[in-house]
Amino acid sequence: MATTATAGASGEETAVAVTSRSPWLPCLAAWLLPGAGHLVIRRTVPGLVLMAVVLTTFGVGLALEGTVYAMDPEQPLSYLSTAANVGMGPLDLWARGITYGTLRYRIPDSRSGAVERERVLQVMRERYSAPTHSYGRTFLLTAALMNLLLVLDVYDYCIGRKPYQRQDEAPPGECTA
Amino acid sequence: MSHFLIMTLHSLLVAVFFAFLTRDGFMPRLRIGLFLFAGMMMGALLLAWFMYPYPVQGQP
Repeated sequence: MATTATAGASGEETAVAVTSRSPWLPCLAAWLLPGAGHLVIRRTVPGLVLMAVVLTTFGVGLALEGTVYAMDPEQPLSYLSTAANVGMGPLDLWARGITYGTLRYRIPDSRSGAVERERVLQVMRERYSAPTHSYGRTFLLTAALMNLLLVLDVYDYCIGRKPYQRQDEAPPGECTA
Repeated sequence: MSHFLIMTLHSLLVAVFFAFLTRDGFMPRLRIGLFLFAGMMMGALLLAWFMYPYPVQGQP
């Protein structure tokens, strides 16, 4: 671990620990379960709070009858939304099962699969009938984007771009910076 | 759940998330969390106030 001194906002010097380690395992853990990446890199308290916040956001989204996006060739922006939803990790599979009754990532276009498309749209219409469904969809998207930010945050800690403010949190023996 | 309550819950969760993501220590987290929460709530209410004169589609 390398300890450096940086000037704080009020002018006093603050000791920070800069570490560097392989980001793959922590980032994978962060994607699989929100906050788990922070637990792996010993950011325990923030990790637990962030886990609670993201899981609460996800749970409220489902409780409000939210739906996850699937790629629709007739709505190109749905590709971006679907990619964002996948950021939630394995929990996205659960939400997808609730929304579509199956693990569906793509809605067939009206030329190649009109019957299947109509069946999927009918399932979605039933879900849309809930008055809070658009709020739920926003909560689900928010939770997924939060999880992507957590993955990036863990990556920054691992490569040393973001220093540990508390040296006792920094992982020992894996520091090269 | 009312629309206002859902908006408040969303603002609260997002504020807590960014407070813990971007700051270390109790006071910095509290400060940025309150700032974000108040900003989102006030921004939404301000936007609603500006939109008030515009009629809802399909109503006179």
